[in-house]
Amino acid sequence: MTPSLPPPPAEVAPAVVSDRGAPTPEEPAPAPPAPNVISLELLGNGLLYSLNYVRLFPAWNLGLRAGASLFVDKISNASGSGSLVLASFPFVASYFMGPPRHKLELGLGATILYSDAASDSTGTKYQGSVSGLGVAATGVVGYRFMPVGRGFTFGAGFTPLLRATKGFLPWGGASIGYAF
Amino acid sequence: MQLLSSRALLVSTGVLWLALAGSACEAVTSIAVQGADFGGASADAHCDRRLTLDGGQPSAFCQDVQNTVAASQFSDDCRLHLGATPGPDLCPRAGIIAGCLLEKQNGDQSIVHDWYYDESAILGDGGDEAGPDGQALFAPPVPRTVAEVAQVCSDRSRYPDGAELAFP
Repeated sequence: MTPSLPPPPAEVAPAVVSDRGAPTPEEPAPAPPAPNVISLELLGNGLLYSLNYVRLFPAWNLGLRAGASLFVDKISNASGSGSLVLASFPFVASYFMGPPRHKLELGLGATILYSDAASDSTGTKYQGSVSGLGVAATGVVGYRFMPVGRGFTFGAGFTPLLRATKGFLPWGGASIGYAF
Repeated sequence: MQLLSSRALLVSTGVLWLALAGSACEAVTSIAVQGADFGGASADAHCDRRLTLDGGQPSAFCQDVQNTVAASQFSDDCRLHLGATPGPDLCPRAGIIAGCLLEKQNGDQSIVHDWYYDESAILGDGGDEAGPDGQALFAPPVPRTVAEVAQVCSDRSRYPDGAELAFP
């Protein structure tokens, strides 16, 4: 006679333990970051610096960024000399992946560049081969901290630029901003 | 003794911090210049020392700077401090014997050459004393051959950081 086996234990769903220690059936998903971000980036896609507005689309893990920067420097100390003007306008579309707060940012875009050469005290302009308006392809591979809802955001990454007349510029940047 | 070693530690720490700050400042400047160059801020310029203003004594060379962000400053220094003739682009190539590539490292990574010209036609029969009142027309040195230019390039009193012979 074969001995009867004991019945298998009933399958029990594992309890989720919340931060407070009390088991709850399910942890609610964290709120997405607020959709609007303003940020200041040092170096990065805007070359020297840029002030940026980012519109986030959390449902698609996407962000669209537009920025601007203006750099004016009176190169010569002589009276009557003119200033160097360098402006940049980065436009980047980024895809964010990873856990809610710590994201890997992968982006592609273009930076519109404008430079106006400085002049000496007689008004002679000293301009290079790529003065005036130009465009560079750019991208970003980096880390970004995203807040839950409103809050500070920051990040850093590799932001190379590619320009037909100047070639490849291995570049990087770091930014800090606020999501609202 | 202990006081002395504390002071030595303090001084060496201070020197280290100053060195680090200096290096950091140089690195930041170098990075910013790279960015400005990519954006189109760099240009070439020259200062022709053969053509002087206000009766200054000319020299037998022209200096040019390639890819500098400070071209307008270079131009104003040329005119206002040296009394010579500046201009955009590189030095005129006609009549160059040879030049010296300066080994001094500039903050903007620019390249500087002094180009020496064959001035024998200008000096003519008067030789070195072809200037007004029998004085030297050109300030020395006035090299006439490639070998003499090479000698000028190796003169550490003229080029303290060194220079090497170059051709256009």
